[in-house]
Amino acid sequence: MQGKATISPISHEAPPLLKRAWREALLAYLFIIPSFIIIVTFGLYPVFRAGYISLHKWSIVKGPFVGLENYRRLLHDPDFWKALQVTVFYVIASVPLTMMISLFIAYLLFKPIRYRALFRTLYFLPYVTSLVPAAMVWQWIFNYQAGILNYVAGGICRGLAKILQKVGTVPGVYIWILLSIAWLAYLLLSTSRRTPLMTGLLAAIAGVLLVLALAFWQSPTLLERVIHELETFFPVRWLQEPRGIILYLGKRWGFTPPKWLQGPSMALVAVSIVSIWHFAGYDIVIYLAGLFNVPNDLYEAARIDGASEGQIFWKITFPLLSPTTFFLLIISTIGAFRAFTMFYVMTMGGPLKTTTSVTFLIYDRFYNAGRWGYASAIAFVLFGIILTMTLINQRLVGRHVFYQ
Amino acid sequence: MSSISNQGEAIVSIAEIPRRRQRNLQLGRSLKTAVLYTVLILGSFISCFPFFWMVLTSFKTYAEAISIPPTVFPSDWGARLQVLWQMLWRYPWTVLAFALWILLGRAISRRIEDRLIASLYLVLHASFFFVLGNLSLWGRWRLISLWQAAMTRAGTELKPFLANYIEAWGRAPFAVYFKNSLIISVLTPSLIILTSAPAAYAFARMRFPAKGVLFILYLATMMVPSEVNLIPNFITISELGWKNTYLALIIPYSTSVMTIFFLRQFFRSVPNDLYDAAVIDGCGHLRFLTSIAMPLARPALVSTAMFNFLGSWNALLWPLLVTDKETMRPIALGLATFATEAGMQVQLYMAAATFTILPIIILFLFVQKQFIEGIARTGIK
Repeated sequence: MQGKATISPISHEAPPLLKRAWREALLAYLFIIPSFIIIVTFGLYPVFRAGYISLHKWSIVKGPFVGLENYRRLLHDPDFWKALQVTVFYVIASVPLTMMISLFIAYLLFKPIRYRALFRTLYFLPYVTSLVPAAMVWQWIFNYQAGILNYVAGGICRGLAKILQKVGTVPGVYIWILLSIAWLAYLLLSTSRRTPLMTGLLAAIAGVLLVLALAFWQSPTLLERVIHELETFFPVRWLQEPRGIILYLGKRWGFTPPKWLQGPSMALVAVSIVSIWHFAGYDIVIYLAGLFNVPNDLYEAARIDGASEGQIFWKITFPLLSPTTFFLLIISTIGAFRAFTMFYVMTMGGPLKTTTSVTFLIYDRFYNAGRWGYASAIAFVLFGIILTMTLINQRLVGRHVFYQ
Repeated sequence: MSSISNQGEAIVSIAEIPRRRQRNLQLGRSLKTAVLYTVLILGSFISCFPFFWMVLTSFKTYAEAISIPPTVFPSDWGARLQVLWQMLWRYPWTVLAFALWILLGRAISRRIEDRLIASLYLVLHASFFFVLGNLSLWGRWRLISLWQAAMTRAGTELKPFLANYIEAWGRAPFAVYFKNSLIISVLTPSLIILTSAPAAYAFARMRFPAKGVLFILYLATMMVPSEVNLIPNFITISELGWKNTYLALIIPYSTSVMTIFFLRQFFRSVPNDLYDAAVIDGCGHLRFLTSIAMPLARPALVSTAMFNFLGSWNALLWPLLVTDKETMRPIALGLATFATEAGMQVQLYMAAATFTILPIIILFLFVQKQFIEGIARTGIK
């Protein structure tokens, strides 16, 4: 019986080869057909239909064919450019920062610590909770009058102002100057094994403190100004503040930046903070997996060669993590371009449309204004942008990615 | 001295280093550890703070919630604790009940793999007893009359502990929202697996004409963001007459190219010998898929199912477009509209947010290991 089986796998009838291939193909099509129907009806056909819609004047009911008129109008629509700018700001404000924070936390979690699983779960919790309730809670935290953020941050700033009032004037400022000089001297003279980056960072802090102390010593008006600033900066109208962050900060010091330099509105900054909070957990988990994939013998070899921790990180860990970084960069950028829920719950695109992202604009034109042709055109432009971004990412970053 | 330290810990054992230096090293190390844990704890505090704040706000009165300076704990919690203490003191069997409740919690939390996260669950579980002990929701319960007696003994009259929750629950049909969400987010992942697994298997292990073209077609649809398909799909759904039905919410998302792609990778990694052995035993593709490949792919299937569950539980934009009846809304959308209707009644919508988030968090605590490792392995989002 065994001998028979090795000769022909299907033993009873042994149909001719062609017929067997045929049957296999038939079965394969049977396997594929359910997903195929759904993908064609709701994934592929709609793309062409959207293209068709975008070439028509289509306000809820189909209108006349207008060719590329919708796209032409889009190029002259300030709302569209504004939305594009908002989206780009949102990507820049949230994606790199999320990744940096996540890499930092993941790096700490990678060290031999206790309770790693607990920490990982706690950091991951925001990502699991759905965005609608989370955004509602944050909306409350960011509230102008009764929000906890303004209260706590304001309290901290007023405390700092009080300390400055004590320390900034003459007897205190001498001690301050002496202490920062001592700190600098210690950093330069001590022989402890610290990475140059760390030393530089600490020295920079000390230097800033020293310069500040000297400045306060020289001009009491500056001290007054800073104290006043610290006392009155909060509360900020986070989600209701349409002014750009640079404009907002600059105005207080009598500096009005030109229009292109005003930066994202405070509302958008707030939304970005929530986005960082929400997505950091995901990035941490991915980075942690990447860190565990770096082979241990590389670390050991480097340690035996006397590499410092900073060197190990920048010369081994970071380059070997680059596929992970690359993957996260693409995924998060695309995700940020398509973000909708947070804007819908927290700001509804306001104030003064400073948080109307492209996706929100599509929703608004489609759902509220009923301009379906135009909304389709915007969607196609978004598609084009996402596609080119992916390609550029692959071209630029892909070249510097080290695969093992 | 620096030459010694430059050689690193791998060669020089700590005993060979002079004592003063050794003490410095140890001090440095423990300082480093302290900083490390401080940063980690601070970070996890920030990531959990919104949840604490949500729960605390949901128990406050409106006046307390908006008061400046903000109060951290609801002001009646002290009185409540006193009454609870009275109750436990007066009726010792409630202590026994509490012990039993904790034992039950321990039995449940055994199912969580990580010990610490299990104790996290236990804390949640124990706090539920506190909630129950404070309940005056079901007056028939003997516990409630004890609570009343304890209240009179303590000389205080307190409003029901879950008053905000009850009010929020009554303001909008949350039970319906939950039911809808449950139906949608159980059916969608099941359908995804039912449609994706065979397709993935066909792409991975079977030969048929036009396989390459079909696969590229599938991949191409993955590149298209769903915003492009939004309007045509909306029209399709209206043409089919599916608006305000579960079909509209489920069918367009009932297959996922991402899942197909990912499962295909998995099925390809199933060794060929296994298939050959199965064929010798007289097993065709269908049998092989259902009784060998699928069970082997179980962890992969579970993690994709969990992901798709979460995805459809959280979906907002699509349900917003295809439902305008209140009775068809899933929970995410229902909550969003509730928040706009509740206006400034912040304690109410915090209560609503809490009972929306809580089931997901508890569910997550039980599957967290599989879930996180699923992401780490596949990177699906």
